[in-house]
Amino acid sequence: MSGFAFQSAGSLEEALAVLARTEGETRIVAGGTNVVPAIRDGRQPPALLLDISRLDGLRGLREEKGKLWIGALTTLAELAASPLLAERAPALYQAANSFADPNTRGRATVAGNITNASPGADMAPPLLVLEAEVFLTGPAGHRSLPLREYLTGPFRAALTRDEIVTHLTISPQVHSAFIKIGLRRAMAISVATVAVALEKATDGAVTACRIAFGALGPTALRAPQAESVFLGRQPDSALFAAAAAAIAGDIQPRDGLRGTREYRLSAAGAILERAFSLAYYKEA
Amino acid sequence: MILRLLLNGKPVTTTIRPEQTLLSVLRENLGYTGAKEGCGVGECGACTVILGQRAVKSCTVLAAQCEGASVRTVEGLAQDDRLHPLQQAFIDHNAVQCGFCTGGFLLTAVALLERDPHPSRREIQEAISGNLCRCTGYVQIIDAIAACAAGEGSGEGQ
Repeated sequence: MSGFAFQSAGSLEEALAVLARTEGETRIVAGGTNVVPAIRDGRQPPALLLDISRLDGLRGLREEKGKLWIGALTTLAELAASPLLAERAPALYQAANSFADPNTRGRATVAGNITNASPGADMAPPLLVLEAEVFLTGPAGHRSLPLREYLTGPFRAALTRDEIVTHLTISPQVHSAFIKIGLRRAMAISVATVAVALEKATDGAVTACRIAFGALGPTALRAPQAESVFLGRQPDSALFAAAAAAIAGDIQPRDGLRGTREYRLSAAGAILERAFSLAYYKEA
Repeated sequence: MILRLLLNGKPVTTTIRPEQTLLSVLRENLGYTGAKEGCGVGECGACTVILGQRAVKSCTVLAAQCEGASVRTVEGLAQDDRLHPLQQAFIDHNAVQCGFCTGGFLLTAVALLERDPHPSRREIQEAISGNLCRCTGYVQIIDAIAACAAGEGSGEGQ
């Protein structure tokens, strides 16, 4: 006996009821691109595998009250093909298009990517700079929290064992961009990623600036010191050099298989300049 | 538990373990060994099949989630003695060497051409970016898919 069990939920209520009454390990499965390899490697102990992939109410991407509503089960392929996202939130659109390969994107879901909470999760930096709010449902009702509070550590998210992510909302920002460094262009775990979202005045001065890095700390991180460098200024090479220097106070890159600490620190400054320029010069 | 699939157009039923992958069910339960296990973790694409309308890496798909679904494998591409136009194009362009990755490339390409019958060369490259070949390189494979899309050797678009 393997000790695994499987149940497919026909409704959100049913899924929540299963989570509430099941003793022992339960693992929610949607696309399976993280969970299934974990089972193979023995990283996932025997559990009830609760399939939520048939909950079609948790799918979709639409504009709602000035924000974008993104269902938890929306696949990265759907994000990567969305004209709405391309126009209103290029950072997230670009990140979806740089994630893995098209076939994996067809299975992987946006909530799965952030709930797996890999330090290098590709969706996390763009969602951080687009001020994503994560909406959860559990036995006590609904709650929501900013993504930066949802990501609590490497492979840890603030999801309790009886809760399900239903959707995210983001504040669209046309002046936004994402850059990823991987060992190759497809199927690459990130070595370093950055997302930028900004606002600028008619004279070109930056009036709001949000920067987040991935794979450069225990979770994806906002970079407040680098952000403050740009405020009230127009970007030029001196400003980019100052921002690159400020990054060292924001991120904690580590030596790893995919890059050294020194390389990552230096690369972070380079990709910040590229992403910032893309966001800044993007025509609204 | 019982799993029912529409496999290459035919209904099949098999008993599976809850944690089995679609790849494992195809190979071990049903004897369809055209999908290969390369890496086993979704990186190489040798296990690619078409689930519904989309090419997927069957080693990262939980079989139990496929109840009632349509699955197409490389075994279902040829009709009687006639190869699928993409299979013929792969032969014509020398896009096969050891063959281990070929089924996966074919199914990724079938799904691509069903979605977009006339992809650009760049779109073909992007579509196959999650399928690895360690023998031929990729030029012949891209040539084969592009030729098939152009109707060459397929009996279409003449």
